[in-house]
Amino acid sequence: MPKRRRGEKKTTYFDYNLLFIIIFLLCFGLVMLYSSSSYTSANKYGDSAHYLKLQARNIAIGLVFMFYFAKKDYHVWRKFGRLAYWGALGFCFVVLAKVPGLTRSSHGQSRWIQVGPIGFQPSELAKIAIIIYLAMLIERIPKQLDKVSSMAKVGIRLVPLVLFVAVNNLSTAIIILGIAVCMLFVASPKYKEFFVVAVLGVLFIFAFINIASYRSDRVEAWKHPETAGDKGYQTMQALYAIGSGKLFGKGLGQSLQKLGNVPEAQNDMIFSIICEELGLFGAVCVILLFVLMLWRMMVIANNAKDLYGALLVTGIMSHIAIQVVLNIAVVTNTIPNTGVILPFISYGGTSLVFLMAEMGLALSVSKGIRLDTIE
Amino acid sequence: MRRKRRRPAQKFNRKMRTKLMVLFSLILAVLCGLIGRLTYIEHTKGETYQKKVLSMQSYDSKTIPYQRGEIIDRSGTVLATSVAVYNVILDCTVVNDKEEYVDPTVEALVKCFPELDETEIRRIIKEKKDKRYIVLAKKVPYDEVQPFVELQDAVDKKGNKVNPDIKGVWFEKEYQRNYPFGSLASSVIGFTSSGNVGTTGLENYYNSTLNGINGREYGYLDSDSDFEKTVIDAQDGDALVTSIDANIQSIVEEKIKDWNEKYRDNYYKGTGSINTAAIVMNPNNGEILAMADYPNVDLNNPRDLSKWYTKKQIKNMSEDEKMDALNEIWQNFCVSSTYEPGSVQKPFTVACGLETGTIKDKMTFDCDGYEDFNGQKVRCVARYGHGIETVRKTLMDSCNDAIMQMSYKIGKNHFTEYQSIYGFGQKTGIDLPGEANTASLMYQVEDMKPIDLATNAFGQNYNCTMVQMVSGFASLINGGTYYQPHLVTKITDSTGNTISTVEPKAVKQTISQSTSDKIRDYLQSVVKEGTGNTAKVDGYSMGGKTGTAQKFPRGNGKYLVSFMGFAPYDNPQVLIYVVVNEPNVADQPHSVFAQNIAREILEEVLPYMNIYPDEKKTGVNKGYDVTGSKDSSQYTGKHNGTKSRNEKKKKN
Repeated sequence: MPKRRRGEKKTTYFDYNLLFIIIFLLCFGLVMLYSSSSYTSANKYGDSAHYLKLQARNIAIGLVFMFYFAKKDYHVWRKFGRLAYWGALGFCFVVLAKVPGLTRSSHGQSRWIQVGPIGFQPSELAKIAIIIYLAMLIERIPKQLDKVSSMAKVGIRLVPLVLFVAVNNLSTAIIILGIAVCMLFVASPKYKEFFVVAVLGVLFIFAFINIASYRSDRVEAWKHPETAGDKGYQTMQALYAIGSGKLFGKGLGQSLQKLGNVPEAQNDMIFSIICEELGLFGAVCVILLFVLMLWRMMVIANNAKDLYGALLVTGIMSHIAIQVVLNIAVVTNTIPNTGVILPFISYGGTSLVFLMAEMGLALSVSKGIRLDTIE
Repeated sequence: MRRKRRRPAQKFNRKMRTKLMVLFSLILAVLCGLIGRLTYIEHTKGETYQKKVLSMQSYDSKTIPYQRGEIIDRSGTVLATSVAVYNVILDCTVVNDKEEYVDPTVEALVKCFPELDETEIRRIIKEKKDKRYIVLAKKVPYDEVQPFVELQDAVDKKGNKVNPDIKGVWFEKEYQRNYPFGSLASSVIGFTSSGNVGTTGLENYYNSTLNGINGREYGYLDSDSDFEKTVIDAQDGDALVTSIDANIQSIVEEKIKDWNEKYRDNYYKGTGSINTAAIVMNPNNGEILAMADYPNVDLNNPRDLSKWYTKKQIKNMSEDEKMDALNEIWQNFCVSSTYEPGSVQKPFTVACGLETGTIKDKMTFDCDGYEDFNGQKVRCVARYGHGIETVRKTLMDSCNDAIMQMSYKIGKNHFTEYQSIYGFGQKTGIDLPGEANTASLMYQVEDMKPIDLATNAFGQNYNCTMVQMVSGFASLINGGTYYQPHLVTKITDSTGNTISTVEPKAVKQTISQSTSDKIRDYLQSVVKEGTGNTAKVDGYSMGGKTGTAQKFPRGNGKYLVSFMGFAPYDNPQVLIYVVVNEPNVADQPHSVFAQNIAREILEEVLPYMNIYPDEKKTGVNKGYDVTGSKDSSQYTGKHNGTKSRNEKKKKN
């Protein structure tokens, strides 16, 4: 390989495939968001495009972030690894302590930081922070990762952030943990240990779910959504939507469940409306689109110039994969109901902006690929 | 050293690539599992869920209420109307959407609807977060809703909303039946229950006319399973124009009430009479100008017994007893109650005799005080007889003996035929519900014994209703035309356009013009110099006949007294019939109770109807009040209706 590298002119690469998938998903997301929210938003705000407009604004902001991150050499972020980690920790603490003047609550839980007109959820920041931080950490000690002890050392550093996030947002904590495990898994040559960790993790989650009483209601609603009354209502309505969609759906815009039956259809439950309107076929297409996106990221990671870039993309890929899996699993009542959004499609400002920043990162990594090295 | 370690960039080695591949495959596997799950749900529950989704759509339709038609009197005064009222609905999810909505919304609600409790609203908003339909207040009038809407819609100069944070409150329109005059003409108008179901009176009789058709706003799925929304406007109900004159009606009710108040607790503890009722009719077309009975009911609160019973009595009543008491009050005495009319029948008997030629004006009868039917003595009011009676004098004295003798001459065939012609035993067909059927309370020719004929001739031993009596009597004095009594003269749509008019319905000719003239002449004497003199309104020529009917069982001292009168005598414009059922006095059998009420009513109604005095004033009945006392300021509370010229006639 060094032989071929020499004397060759530098060919820059940019993963347009990924960019196209991102833009496609965003546009598709807007269409579905408008379809699922127009009725309720017209009722509530007198403007059927209320959510559409807000989401378009979010996308515009997100695009700025994405291109900024894509343009910037990703190695810069190596220096910010620690800062990102401590910053996220700090914000999470602010939210936990409910510092007046800085926090805002919505839907009964305070998960927001609000400074003037700018508000965001620090738990979303924590996701990207953990990717940048872990990539930096692992890159330093790749050789040592075959030892369980050094892996544990890395793991321990994550405990404070995960715990802070877990207090009022369990699903995000699980996602953060999942990202970390995936990144370590890829970096480490071990298998057995991860299998054990996975089993332990599942056991832990179930234990946690069963201990906290407020989560136990969710477990009850998960096992018997038909009889759980109000608690199982959202789940049942989502299932009705999925079931009534049949193979090819009722057609775009024809959902009945979005007419007030599925609460907040534009948020976590948007996938059920996709199933209802576009049917099983449409749902599988959406899943395939995500698979395509993950595959592009795998290609970028495999061909990244260096380990740091590859680890970044691995983290981002794990993030997307975990959210997609959890979201669909919730909508189909495969796991208990927990608030995980469907990336790029669900309504939500903070998560979208950070997701697109991550996409910018991945694109930035793709830029470092030299065409001649592509496998 | 550090620089050296960093410089040769760490590579993403083959092992890591393999593991990334494994990770990717794992993700793929999980996603495939989820696709499987989707397929499973769709395959096993698809049909059921599809139906479920469709069935949940049904409540998406909304009823738009119609407005029930009005009932108005002959001059346009609204007697019954439906007013729009609003239910205040709170959508908690909207209010809770943003914290800053809560305070302005609650403040606006409390400010505009003083009956709402602030802490209660806040509790609801807090505890029922996901409830979208909370009724805060019911049937709030428009005047109260308006300020709230103004507050909500207020804009400043730039067109921005002043109060953009008032959210989640909306109003549900509904109509409430309203009777502006409360108890006025209560038994005629009737009332509605549960919104638009007419329960009594005109409200019941014309229920379907008054009711419109609800509009509907609904969604449905068209052939392409597209969701369509359609609005069908409500059709408001039609309005009734009645022949009732609200002024005459209120004069009548006032006098009846006045009389009953004065006689309250007079002899025994209780109301002035069991019932007092009056009908004022135009004898020339059968239109009812006023129809009143006592006790009556506040139509805006028809289930309230407190006006007639003490709290203790109501508390001790069972549900059935309460219902019976209510039905008693709701019943329209004028059409639903039957009674023996007494001597008011006598002009009918005389008219029958004159018409059939069996009685002649010149005939005389000797009253010896009683008639004997196989040992059973039926007495005249004059125990030792009136002596020789002419036909005119018979009516003036209300002599039973003479009338009985007339009945023999008339014979049962003529008598029963004419009773039927006068409408006794048949429903008049007045447009009110619950008209009593008196057919079984009349004698047929084949089973009429002499004593039955004799007693029927002076109005005992058979039953009639007030409306039967007044309708028949109208034909006696108007030249013999029997008009069907009626209340509704016109039906208009909700915008006031006439849909149909009800013309006076002349059903039959009962007697000839000449007989009618003669009867009117006799009856003028009754009021001028006979038993009906107490009813005379000074300055007006009048005719009339008294009635004092012994109630069953005979001899228990309970009487129903009445007076039928008309004015002017030669061209009757108004006919009044007053019935007092068991006046609350020690000595009941005196028709003066009814006469006093009739006189007091006519004294006000005649000038109101632009009927001018046609006689010289003689000072008759001057200064008497509704109780017949000369000086009401010295009223002691004990009345027997005794007056200098008290009639002392007892009918049997």
